[in-house]
Amino acid sequence: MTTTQDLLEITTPFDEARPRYVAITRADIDQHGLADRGGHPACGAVLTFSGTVRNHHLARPVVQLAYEAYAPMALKEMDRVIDAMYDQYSDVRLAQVVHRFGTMPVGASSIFLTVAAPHRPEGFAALRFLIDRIKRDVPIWKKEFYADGETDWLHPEDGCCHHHLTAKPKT
Amino acid sequence: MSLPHPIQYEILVFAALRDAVGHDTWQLNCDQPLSAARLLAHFFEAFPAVAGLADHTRVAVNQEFLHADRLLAVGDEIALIPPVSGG
Repeated sequence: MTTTQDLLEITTPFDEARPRYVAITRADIDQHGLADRGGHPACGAVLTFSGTVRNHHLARPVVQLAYEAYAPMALKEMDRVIDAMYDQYSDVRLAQVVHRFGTMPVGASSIFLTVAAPHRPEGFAALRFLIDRIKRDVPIWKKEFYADGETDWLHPEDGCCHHHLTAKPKT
Repeated sequence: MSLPHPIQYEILVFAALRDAVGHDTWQLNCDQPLSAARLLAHFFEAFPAVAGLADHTRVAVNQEFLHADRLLAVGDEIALIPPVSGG
């Protein structure tokens, strides 16, 4: 199910618990706007992360990527990942997660995150938690287009979690 | 003339699984309610070309991953989630 909507988003403002901005969009990501809005008066650190389209995969030249999303669930799952982040890093005051889908060229930002924290150690840890969990649990898939004209879906085994139901017996 | 199956599931499929099915959804007819684990097994029996993904494909029901097996209702939004590669 590819979404017909170009933007899905969730906003929880500052004056509510666990503030956030979560979006999945077909458009270019406004990295500067997100970074500018990523701060909080109580915070001395705003961490940002941009995931970008790489020009190679296992030494094979890549010319572009297409991301397919189960968009409504992807939005909810990113929201759940932020909840899990706040469970663990309660000093964080703002988190933003934007994932792009559709076709994009080498160098484009496919995901952009910001975290605001009073001090940098918790900010770095929270940012890493977010991107690691997103890469494991958010239903979005990357299709690579290679210079030789072939294409491939990437289905890495670490993009799975056996805490959830799978056919593999739990060990 | 065969009788219609009383239960018809429509399952959302993505990425390599969608390519294997050739469509955004996979329809499965059966005579009684199916569990999520049986659904996974049925799918990979039907599409052996993607059997390599069987151990790492999750079931989402109503846009949430299942943590344990359960029976699927016809009204559920059911999706098969092969290993993800966003980010």
